[in-house]
Amino acid sequence: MTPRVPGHWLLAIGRALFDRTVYNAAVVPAIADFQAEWLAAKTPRARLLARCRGLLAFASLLVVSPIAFRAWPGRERGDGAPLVTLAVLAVAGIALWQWWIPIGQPMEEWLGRIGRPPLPAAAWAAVLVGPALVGAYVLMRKHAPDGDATVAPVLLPVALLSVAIPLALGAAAVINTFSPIGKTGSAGLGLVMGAVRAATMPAVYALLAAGLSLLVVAKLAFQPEAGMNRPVLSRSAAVTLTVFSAVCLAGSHVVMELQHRVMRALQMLLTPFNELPAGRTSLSIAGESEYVVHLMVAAVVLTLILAVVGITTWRALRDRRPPTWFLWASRAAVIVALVGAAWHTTITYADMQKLVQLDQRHLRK
Amino acid sequence: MDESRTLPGKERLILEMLSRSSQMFGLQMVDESAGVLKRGTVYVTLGRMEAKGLIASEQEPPQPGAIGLPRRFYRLTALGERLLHAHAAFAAALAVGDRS
Repeated sequence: MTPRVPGHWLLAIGRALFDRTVYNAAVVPAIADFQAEWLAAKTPRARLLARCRGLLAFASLLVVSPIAFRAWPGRERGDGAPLVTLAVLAVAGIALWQWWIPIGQPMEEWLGRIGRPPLPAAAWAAVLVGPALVGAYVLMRKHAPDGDATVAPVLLPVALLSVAIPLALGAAAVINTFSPIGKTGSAGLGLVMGAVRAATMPAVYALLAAGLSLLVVAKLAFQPEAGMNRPVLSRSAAVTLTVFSAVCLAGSHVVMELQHRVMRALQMLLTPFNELPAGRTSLSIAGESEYVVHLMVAAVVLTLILAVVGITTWRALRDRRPPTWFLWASRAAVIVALVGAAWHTTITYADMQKLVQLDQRHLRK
Repeated sequence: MDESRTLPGKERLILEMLSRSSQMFGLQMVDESAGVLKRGTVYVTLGRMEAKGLIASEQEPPQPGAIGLPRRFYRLTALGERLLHAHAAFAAALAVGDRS
């Protein structure tokens, strides 16, 4: 039987992320050599090794791409690559924000001094970063030359996010496992609810990963005409989607309230199975955890929207030229992905805040 | 003068390897470079060099029954060869200057 050669997904991702010149010059030869090495390997171990090397090489190509392809010969200046890099850094910074709580904490306190902010500091970060990304994108589009010599500007940070977020979350999981204080985020929840939350997290991020993959596959939606490799998000669409993200954030309060009621009901139902810490009631515990869980609920909703749009677009593009509304939906998906991903990072931030709060309480005792 | 100012080290290495053998695959160059060239970035360097006209590339002819993408092999162009010779002469002249 003919073996199935690996590398099809890498090719699809490469085609989605890079313009045709870079794709043909760097991505295809890399994958062709990877496949040749894999085919030449005689033992399963050698094939596994070849696969790992190939994946590593492709990952390196992704990591160096914002810098390496900025000055690709023949590329015009002002193609927005520095802004892509900035956008990547901004989002990665948010993803890693949990690690600089000593800086983030005073910022939240400052926000509290000038008037109690209606949203937690992490959500404010999402509000600030979302429009900043959209602004950077609009600038990129304004200055981008026509033709296909442009790295797909929005998809690159999205792809990097899909790497950065699981990494950040993985680190948070390690902290959760080995923390002497207790589980972050789910701290204070009983055993059953803690397990529910722990089971939900992988599902949320699996959904996000699936959504992002679909978005990359649906990248064709951004180049409806042959030879056009520049996303076609208009300024009005950017403004509309920014407003949409702001409404989502504001709506999170409603979601939070709803979630609070659900959690309270669940806690009351599950109280016989949980051992509550001394002096704590199920109501106070539900109140402590609501803010983590409402972000999760919002993230799930955003991810589902993204997945549905991605699947629909992909299906539509398989057989025919996409209608206009598909193009609009796919543009919306890009922004939803960015907002959703930034939002997801606030979950880990919220976890860390919870850890700090618990730590302070622990010290006070 | 620093050699890298006239020809980057990796590009020089690739030119030298290609001058020794008529054509090579990217992975072959990585293997023969003793760790100087990396899998993830060699194709970026090769792509740049091809865009500058120093090397040329072709896909290997499809073999009957072959599976997987056809590999791309690289060879030196006349411009690349001239640049390599000019660089070698330049480096030699600098070495003579240093001794005197």
